[in-house]
Amino acid sequence: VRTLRYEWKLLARQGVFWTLLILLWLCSCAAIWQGRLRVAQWERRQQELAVEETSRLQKLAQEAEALKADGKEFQALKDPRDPSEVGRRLGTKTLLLPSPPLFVLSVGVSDLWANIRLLSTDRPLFARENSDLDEPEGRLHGPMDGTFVVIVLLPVVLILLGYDYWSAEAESGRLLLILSSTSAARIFMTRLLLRWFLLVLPMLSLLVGAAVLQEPQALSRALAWGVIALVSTVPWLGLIVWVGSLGRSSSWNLLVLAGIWSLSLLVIPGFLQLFLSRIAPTPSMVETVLAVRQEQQALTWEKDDALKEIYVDHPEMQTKSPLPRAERSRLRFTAAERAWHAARPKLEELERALLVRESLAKRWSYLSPSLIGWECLSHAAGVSRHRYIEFHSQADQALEQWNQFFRARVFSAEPFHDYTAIPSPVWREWDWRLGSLGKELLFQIGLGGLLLLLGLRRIRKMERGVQRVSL
Amino acid sequence: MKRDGRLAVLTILLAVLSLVSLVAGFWRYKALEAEMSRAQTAERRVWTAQAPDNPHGASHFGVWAFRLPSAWLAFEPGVSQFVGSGVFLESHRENPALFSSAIDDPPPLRLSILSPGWVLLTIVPLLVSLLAAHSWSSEKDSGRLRLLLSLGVSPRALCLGKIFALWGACVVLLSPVLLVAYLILGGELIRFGALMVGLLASLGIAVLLGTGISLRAKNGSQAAFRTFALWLGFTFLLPSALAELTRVWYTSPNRSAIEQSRRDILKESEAAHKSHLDELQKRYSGPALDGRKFAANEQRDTEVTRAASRPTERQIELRRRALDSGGFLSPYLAARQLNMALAQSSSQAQEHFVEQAQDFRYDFVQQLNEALSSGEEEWKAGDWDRVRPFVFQPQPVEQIVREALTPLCALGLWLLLGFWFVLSARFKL
Repeated sequence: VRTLRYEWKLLARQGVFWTLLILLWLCSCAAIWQGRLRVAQWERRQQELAVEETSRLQKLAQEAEALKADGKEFQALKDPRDPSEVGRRLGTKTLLLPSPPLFVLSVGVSDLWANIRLLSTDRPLFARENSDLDEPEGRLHGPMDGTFVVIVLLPVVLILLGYDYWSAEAESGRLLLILSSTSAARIFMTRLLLRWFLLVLPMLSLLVGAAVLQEPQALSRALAWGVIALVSTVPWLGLIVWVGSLGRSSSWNLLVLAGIWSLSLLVIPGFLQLFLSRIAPTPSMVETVLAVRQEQQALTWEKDDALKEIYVDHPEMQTKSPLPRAERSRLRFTAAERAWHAARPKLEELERALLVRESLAKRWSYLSPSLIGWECLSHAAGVSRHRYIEFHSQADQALEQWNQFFRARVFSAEPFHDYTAIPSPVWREWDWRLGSLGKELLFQIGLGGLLLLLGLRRIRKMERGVQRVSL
Repeated sequence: MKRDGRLAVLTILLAVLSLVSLVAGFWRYKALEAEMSRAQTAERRVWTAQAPDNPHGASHFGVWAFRLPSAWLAFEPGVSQFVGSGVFLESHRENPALFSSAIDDPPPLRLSILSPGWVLLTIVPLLVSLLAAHSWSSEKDSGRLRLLLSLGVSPRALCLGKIFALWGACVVLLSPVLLVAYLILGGELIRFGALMVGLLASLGIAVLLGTGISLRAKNGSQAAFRTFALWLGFTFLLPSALAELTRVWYTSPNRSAIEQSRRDILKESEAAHKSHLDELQKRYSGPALDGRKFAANEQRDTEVTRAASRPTERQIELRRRALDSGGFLSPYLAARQLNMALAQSSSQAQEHFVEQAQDFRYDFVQQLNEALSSGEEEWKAGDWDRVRPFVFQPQPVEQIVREALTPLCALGLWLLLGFWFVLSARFKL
């Protein structure tokens, strides 16, 4: 307690510490503010879409009923009784991905992947990208979110406050005095741990608290996020203790720690990206486009054959149509299906390749604590790629269901009135457990613990050496 | 400085990082170029080998427009990985650009894309500024400075000597890499010259700020501390905060809001458009009428779409201006903007591509509608060649220079500020 009180008094006089603490708090508050804006924007957009969809479908149903009652003829392209136009354009629905549970804390891949999928018999093929009109420069510099604060800023602040815990004493001539007492290790550890606690715990409480306030159901996830964030600082603490214990000058310590930070956050990820793109290339989307285009082109030559092909499988659909343009609708429907089936193998290959790359990236991310931390925090926040791959796979299933619903109606060409029967798919939340990150968390704790032990051993050794000499 | 072991370490680090990033950038560029060329050729083949069809029907079949990358992307990929490189062009609708490569990369890798531009603007300034901070403070800490000054050396001359020596050494060390880059980039002298000026300025700023900080610091450790903190602020904190703030200040409507506004404008102009169509109906019949109606619809759709997107474009323009002025707040931002402008990997360059593609779309659709108006109800093999292929035209040099002017001015101001920062310091022993 006496050591703690002494260290606290020292710290209270250290302006740099409080400046950095305030800076970190400001950054955290900015990240939360931005996060809340992002969540509000996401929810507002989804709400607008849902309202627009409901009112549009209600209006269409009323129009269809009115036209039925009047017995009016079909109008090309905009008739609410035309099943082809309803399934393709007029009555489309959207599958919405709810905002990630801890979106207020992490952006992850959510600015790159689409969170809305249109359900239409036209089957939009290239729909996984977020084509919203965001400023790409924002994506280039990285969003300033909770993850950015924890992974990029927090280690720097820890380094800046702890790099000279040993060397400053040596440079001021107090080191021998401290080492000659029996509690040198305790003094140094108290110094570092006090700074660590004061920096990390209140800041993480702020971030987690904000996330819980925003999304009270995500309490366990938010706590898990906090634990992961806490654990991701352990390797840096261990590193500071170990580098400081080597007994070099303050500037040397700072250079080495800053170098390791740059390596971990900038250089290793850069090299890893290059390496992954060479050993696990993903099939190009352009190839998929070309496969689809070739199929579409072939279809321009085989219009009649394509319809015949369908009538062989479904003779019941070959009816004399009361609708004008019915044949055209069938052909359009078939074309969309064939394009979809041409693209599917390529898209599945892409998904498989992405998962292979992801698992390789996960394996190689042990090279850098920053990468592991980032990955774990994104997972916990629900903004990792896995949730989006799951969303798009559910959207593909919903599209299949949608097409099945409209296929019979397009081919029978009967007037469409049953708006209430149109499928309304709902997103099933992707399952996530903290346990799935056990290996990564253990690695972080293990690495930090090992470095801490090595550092402490060196301090004790020197302490014993000095005490032996003084005796 | 020659005796300083750190310079040797710096040389090796710089050489390895720069060369690896250059090779990586070149690989990336070559792969992208091959892919886009293949796609463009295949797309043309698909278009010209269509079955006989109605020209308007073919406009729904559409074409893909691809952006052929410039060799400069090997040096500075900029935002190119976050934006699409292909646009599907069809009648009645303006589609967004698709196929950004960033979606395939694991998210943590986004902060660092190994390219010469990134290494020279992120890692090199850190190393150089720390070295600059050390070169003065080590003299002070070891007591050599007192000795030197006692010999009658002017402190200002000594300081400037150190600055120019380090600055020069960096340029000499980087020159082989830049020479290789020059050969890869195709030897465009004006653009390369501007790139060199920007690079020299950003290295100079790093040296000046590092030295200025060490002149004011009590010891080497404090100088290194402050230099590192400043670099972090300039390179990460400020760009990220600025991007987020401008996103809040200049919120742009999303696609569904634009679609809604498009529908509203369509409704407003419905009566005038209908009367125009009625007029056409009175004067023409058959395919001549169809073609003219399609052309009128296309013209209206395009005008309405553009009118609906105008507020968004205005917001994006304002946001971009705010981001551009960020170069006056951080030399890193200024240098990065300059590199992106020169490499045509900025968001302006992307807009240039999308605009070009959409203009092509309008001409291509109207060409097909006009063919129908003139009575060509069906185009056969050979007719498809009449539609010229989309060939991406890079930004004209004047536009690139205009885009590069603001960051160049910002870098110039930073250099002046750097000199003032050094010269206004009091030389403490």
